[in-house]
Amino acid sequence: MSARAAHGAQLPWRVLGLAGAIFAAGMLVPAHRAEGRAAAGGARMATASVGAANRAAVAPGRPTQLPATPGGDRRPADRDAGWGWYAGYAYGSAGDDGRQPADDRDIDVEGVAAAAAAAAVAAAVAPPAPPAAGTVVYQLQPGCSTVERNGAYYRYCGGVYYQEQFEGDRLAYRVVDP
Amino acid sequence: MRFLYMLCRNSLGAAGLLAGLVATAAAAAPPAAPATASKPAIAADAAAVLERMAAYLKGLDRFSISARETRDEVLAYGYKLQRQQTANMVVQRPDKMRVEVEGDLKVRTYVYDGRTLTILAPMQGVYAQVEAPPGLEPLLNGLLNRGVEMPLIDMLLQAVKGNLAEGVLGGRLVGTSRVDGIAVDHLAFRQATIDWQLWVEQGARPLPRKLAITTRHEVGEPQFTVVLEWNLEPDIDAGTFAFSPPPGARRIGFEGDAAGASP
Repeated sequence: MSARAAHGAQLPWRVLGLAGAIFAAGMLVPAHRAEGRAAAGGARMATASVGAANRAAVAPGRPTQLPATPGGDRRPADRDAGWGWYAGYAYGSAGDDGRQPADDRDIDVEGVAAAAAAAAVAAAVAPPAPPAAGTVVYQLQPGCSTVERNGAYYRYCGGVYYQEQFEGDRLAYRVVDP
Repeated sequence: MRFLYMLCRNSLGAAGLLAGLVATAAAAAPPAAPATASKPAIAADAAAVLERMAAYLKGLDRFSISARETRDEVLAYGYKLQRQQTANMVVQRPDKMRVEVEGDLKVRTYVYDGRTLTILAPMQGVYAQVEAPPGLEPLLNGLLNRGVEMPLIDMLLQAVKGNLAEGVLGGRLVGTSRVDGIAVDHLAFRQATIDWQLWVEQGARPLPRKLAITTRHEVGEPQFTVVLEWNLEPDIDAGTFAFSPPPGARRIGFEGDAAGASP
């Protein structure tokens, strides 16, 4: 490899290194916070249905057998729940199919990665307690397994059992003690 | 105001825009000028397009739609992501429907056989079933009440009930445009929380070919768009409306159900 080519090859590596650092900072964000963001995923999504907007306008408090999707356009009070509008990160919500985990992407619009990294380090010092039974999350961390207990199936991640359920057409995971 | 602005710009050009601004400024000057209250919410030419479309859709016994959707997601710091999704819907009156959705954020299949509604999340290998009322209209009401964000639900609502414009405060015909090379009428509507635009095919098949919804009062005013391809003579397989779970899929419940997951 010529010296020039070697020099040319350095720049991408530097960029990759920076990207890796940002990526690592993202990965350090504890799972419960990632879930918090995902829980409100779709909070600032565009309304996708005229009919749904009409329904919300006609009967905002209509009792339903199944509650409206959290973070959807029907529950304005929940919009900011867990999203950390002023916190030091700028991610998208994770797809609930885990196709684009929130922490895989960093759009570091205003140099917020450093703040996120600092927050991550602070959080790493004091790991969070496991979620209480009844807690509902909308995305599980990677590496969960499916287990059977007393004839029912659960998702099992890091010592916590989750019962899968649909809220509308959105998948939710409720912490249970089977 | 902005609605007037837009309409002026589109219908009359720059001169009209200036005139319109002057007119709106003049209209805003007196404290009480409820002149618009007596006017029909939807202009006659726009209403005519809507009515033609509604009548045509109500006459379709079966159809399929292939849709390309985009949906804005507003992030912190004002970054707007555009999420993509494709959806395919097959409908057979009076009580059969299948929708398959594949998108950045969601992969789902919805099957309604006239008695049962099934929602399948294939990537997680889980599905849920619920007894559904007979007929597409009560089914759609149930879906909306339960917060199911099924794509193309507007098209189905319009086909079944024809009341897409029930919440509209104002509607105008903007002019002629083209969607996928087809001449269309471009309609603009405003209602309490959203603005929406509809592009309806001109000629013998007044089908909705595109829909855009702008969410107002939301940071970044995110937009949703969907472009629709229609097939009015779809080949419907015998099993289209019958749900059979994929191998290994687990049946789960809806929120609030007592029962846990079962094999």
